Amino acid sequence: MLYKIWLLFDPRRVLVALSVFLFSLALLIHFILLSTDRYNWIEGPVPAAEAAAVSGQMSAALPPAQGQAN
Amino acid sequence: MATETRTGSLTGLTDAEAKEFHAAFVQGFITFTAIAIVAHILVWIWRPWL
Repeated sequence: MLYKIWLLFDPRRVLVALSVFLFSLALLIHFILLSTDRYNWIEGPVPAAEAAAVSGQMSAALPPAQGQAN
Repeated sequence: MATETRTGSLTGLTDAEAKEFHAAFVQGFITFTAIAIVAHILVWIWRPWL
């Protein structure tokens, strides 16, 4: 009886809406995973010191010559 | 097509057409779900999240 849903909802619109929704959801989840340390499959886990340096919290802990760009 | 009545259905589909589309839709859903399950299993093997 579930097939009768297509008598109510236009199959074409349902397909388009479902594709757009699923694609957006997939894109969102992939970017969320990439933003994490554990599940970033491109960069891999970043060591803690390097991660702190990237976020700009490391300049005090580094030797002076390495902590500054110029 | 000409003899089938298309009144009484909001989308204009006949009962047979709805059944036909439903079969394809369910098939696609099953395929999508199967791929998703395999992907989740692989990720769980890689790095379980619980």
